[in-house]
Amino acid sequence: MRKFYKIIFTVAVIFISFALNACDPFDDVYLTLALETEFNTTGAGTNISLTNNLCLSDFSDYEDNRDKLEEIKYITSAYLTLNATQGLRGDNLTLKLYQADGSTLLFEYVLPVFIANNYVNNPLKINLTQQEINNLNTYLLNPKVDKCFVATLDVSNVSSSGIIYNLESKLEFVTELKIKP
Amino acid sequence: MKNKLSLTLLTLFLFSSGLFAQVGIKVNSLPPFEATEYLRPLSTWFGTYFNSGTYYDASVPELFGFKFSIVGSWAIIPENQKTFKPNPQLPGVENVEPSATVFGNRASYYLADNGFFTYPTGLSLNAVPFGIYQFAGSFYNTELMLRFFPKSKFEDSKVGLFGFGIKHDISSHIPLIPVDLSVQILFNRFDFEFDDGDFENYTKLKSNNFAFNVHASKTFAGMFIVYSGLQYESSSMDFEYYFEDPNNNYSNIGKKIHNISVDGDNNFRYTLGGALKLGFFVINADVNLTKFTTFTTGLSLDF
Repeated sequence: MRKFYKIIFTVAVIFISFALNACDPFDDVYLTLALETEFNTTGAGTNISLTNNLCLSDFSDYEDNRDKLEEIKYITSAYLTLNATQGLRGDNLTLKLYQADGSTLLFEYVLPVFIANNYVNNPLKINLTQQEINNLNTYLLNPKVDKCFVATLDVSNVSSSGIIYNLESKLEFVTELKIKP
Repeated sequence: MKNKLSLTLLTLFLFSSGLFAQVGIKVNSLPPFEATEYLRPLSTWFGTYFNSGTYYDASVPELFGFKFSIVGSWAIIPENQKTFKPNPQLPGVENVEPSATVFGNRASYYLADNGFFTYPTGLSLNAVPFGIYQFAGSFYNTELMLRFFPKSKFEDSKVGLFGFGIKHDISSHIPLIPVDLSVQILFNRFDFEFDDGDFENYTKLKSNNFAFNVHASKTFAGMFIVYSGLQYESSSMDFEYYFEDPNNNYSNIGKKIHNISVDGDNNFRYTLGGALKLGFFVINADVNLTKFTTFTTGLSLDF
């Protein structure tokens, strides 16, 4: 009978060990986070040149999980016009993203003909080259350290139906955060 | 708090793990038809969990009997319960990559008219460990099992549980049958409500779980029990939450409280287990082959 108890005890220990140790109940967590920055201007000149700064720490999903972050990867991005004066158009919409120093370029996207209202409720998906994606992902290494960006929007030869024009727009980046459970 | 999903509060209560506080679950960002799919595995898990550990012996005493049991369960989350196929029902948005359910770990996204929408991730669980206690009293080969936790308030949350099972030893009517044989019917209800006065954080959950089983057991040397059973089960969950519509994609249904009904995927389960009686104490363990393969183990005081 004592032998039997030993067998039962051994089986119980193996079962409990399996349950507690062999089966890790947690997977890595992947969050998608959309980073966005708005470009707003009212003016009358023939060129639009806007600059914005943004940091990962501006976004609560990053801040909430920062201590457990293992990786951040760029996924995709898009430009949207939120509101614009009728007939606002120009040449060479140029969207650039720099590292925090404002001089190290991460990507540059140029749209030769820009008609602002074409992108109201119709986002312009920005396709980056593999080199540009690599630039971004390299900059995003060591994700526990906050990363800041300088984003610029430029348009030349601007015209509109009125003398004064208005442009409200935004640039969005989707990233994936890998979080240690 | 508004930006953390209200379900976080539920999971914090249920699982008491810092992980969930860190990650959160933003079910509030999902319209009702997507929240239903996101939460369906939770409804299934409730059905799996509450319908587990309800027997280890088909024999029910003819005279008075009493049991108190503590049951632990380990439900393995299958891969197909970790993702769902999004269908945001928005013009021009199709073929969205599968996204995490409440138990999943990888969120998807889509680009709609007014920008990117990012789906919530899940609890990133491979398995869910849990426990429950239950009492049972028997008379005339019939047993009444009760699970009860009075509806109680913990700060802004209220939680309650009520469950019962009725079991009858049908082998007591069949002379010379070589095994004990019983039928059992089970009902379990779990209630949770969070209300901090801000309607955007309001969450209410009711989980109703039903099961019917036939099980058999054979006792050797008066102390070793082998048992097995086949069970039909179903689960449904009513979930009330505030849909915040963060991207303003759904002007007609956004910024409102919605009540959704989520049926679990529970159908049948097969159970195989063994128990050891040591005086008034019984130790048992079994495996349950169902939507979520579940291992349970129990310690009972049985006399």
